[in-house]
Amino acid sequence: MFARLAILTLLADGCGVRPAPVPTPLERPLPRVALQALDGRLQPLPELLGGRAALVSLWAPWCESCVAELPSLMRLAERAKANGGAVVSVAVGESTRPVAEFLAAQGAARTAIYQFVDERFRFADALGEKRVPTTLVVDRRGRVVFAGAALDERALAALRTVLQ
Amino acid sequence: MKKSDCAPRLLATLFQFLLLICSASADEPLSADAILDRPPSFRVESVRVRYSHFEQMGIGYQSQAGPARGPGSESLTVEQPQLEIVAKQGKRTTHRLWIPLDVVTAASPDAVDRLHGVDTISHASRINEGGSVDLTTQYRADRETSLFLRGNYHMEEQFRSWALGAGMARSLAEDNAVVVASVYQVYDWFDSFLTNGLRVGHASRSTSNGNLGLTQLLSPTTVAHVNYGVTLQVGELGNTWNSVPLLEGGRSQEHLPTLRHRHAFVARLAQWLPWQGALKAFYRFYLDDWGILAHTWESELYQRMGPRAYLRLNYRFHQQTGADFFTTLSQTSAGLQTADSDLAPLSAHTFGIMTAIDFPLKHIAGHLDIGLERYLRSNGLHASIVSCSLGLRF
Repeated sequence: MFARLAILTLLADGCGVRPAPVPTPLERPLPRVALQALDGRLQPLPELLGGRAALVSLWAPWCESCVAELPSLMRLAERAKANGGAVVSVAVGESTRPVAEFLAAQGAARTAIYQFVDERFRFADALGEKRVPTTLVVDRRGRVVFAGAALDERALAALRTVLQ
Repeated sequence: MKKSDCAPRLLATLFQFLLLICSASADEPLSADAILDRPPSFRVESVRVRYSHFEQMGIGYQSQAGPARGPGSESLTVEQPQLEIVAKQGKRTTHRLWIPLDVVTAASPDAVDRLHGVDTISHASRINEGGSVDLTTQYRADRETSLFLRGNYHMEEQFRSWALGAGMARSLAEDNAVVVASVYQVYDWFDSFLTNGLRVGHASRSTSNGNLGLTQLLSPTTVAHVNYGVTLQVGELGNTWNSVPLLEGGRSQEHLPTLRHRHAFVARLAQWLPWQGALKAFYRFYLDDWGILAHTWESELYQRMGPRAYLRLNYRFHQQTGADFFTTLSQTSAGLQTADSDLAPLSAHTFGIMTAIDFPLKHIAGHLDIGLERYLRSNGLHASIVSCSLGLRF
């Protein structure tokens, strides 16, 4: 993904044209790309959620601000679950084993967070998201109604709204 | 309803409303207060200490520590302890404090002050201590833009230097490219000497520098960087006690221009290697209006030796033409002239090896490295540098 972007940027600079803006993912359905859970099984996110509202976090172990928000996501997952929602974490560009080892080292292996990897960026590309951390809020109909960077007050407000 | 009854009821309603908002916020299980970690207002992120030992041997025609018409000793040693502290203030501001100290055993202004009975210009035995305080503050204005300010104060026994810089970094193309622009201004103020050791008042110089750089991600495993820097120096541009051998015998004072324009273009490439290594290549083209044109090539090979250790090998080659007014034997004491071996036509090789270990402590990431470099120059100078550092990241 980054290579394609880099080449696109170079070409665009050389031709004097700007690349087309990435369409906003707001109010778009969750892509039916199958995500890989840490135990290896594949599952599309809409099936996993099954009509539940959710907060989805795209992250990577090398991203310091992603790691810094892990404790907050763990707290949120417990409380969202009690309110009928879910928290899903997707490690982009990573394979299952190093992510599982990393989460174990962080004390985050057994939490209420649904942990997945998106090794080949298919899920992130389908959403048009190119950065980590990215925080998405999905309503009960499986539509992405909020997209932001790190977990913040705006994301929590959006989650509260879709859980009501 | 009377107007006087209305005000207390309105206040009571408002109070109840505020109470409701506050209690709802505190009790809300998904509120920001309940979920988000509040960053501490000030937090030390890392501390690093480094110690370097620099030993130089060799000769230079600017030195009087030798025969009248020949080159003199340029031997010196430098002991340099350093301390670096990085701290975060709030969510957006990062400070870096760097304090290097230098203890130099060499021919220094101390060593040429004959007014105080010192005549060690030919012995290069005196010790000169110096130190700097360097503070860089970076402010992250938004996700794409960072601003930074840098201040530096340097002090030696008869040398003071003040510097101030500012810059901006802007991330482009979804973080695939970063543009950095910066300016830096230095003012030096120091004692002036004659070659016979007499102190003759003060001298100063100003150095103004501007840089523009671009870092571009070329592939998931390749990063390129280019930078152009221009520097303008005005004032006394020598150390004032360098000498030039004269054909007729004896030595003359070095005479340098009081203006210097310098241009440098730098290109870097970093490539990840599939056997858990990385290769970094560096090229620098340098040109100034004193007639010096230089090329520098450098490569660094990093190889991971295990989950916690890695090795770095580096080689650098430098080649330059001399200043237009460089000479090792001058016919006259007038006019522009220098015998400074740094301004001579030369080539130089640097070989280095460094090994590093990362070790986890409880809630702290530790880092230890030790390195050795050997510098060999074509005009009779060579140096060895040993350096080790210990870093803790909290």
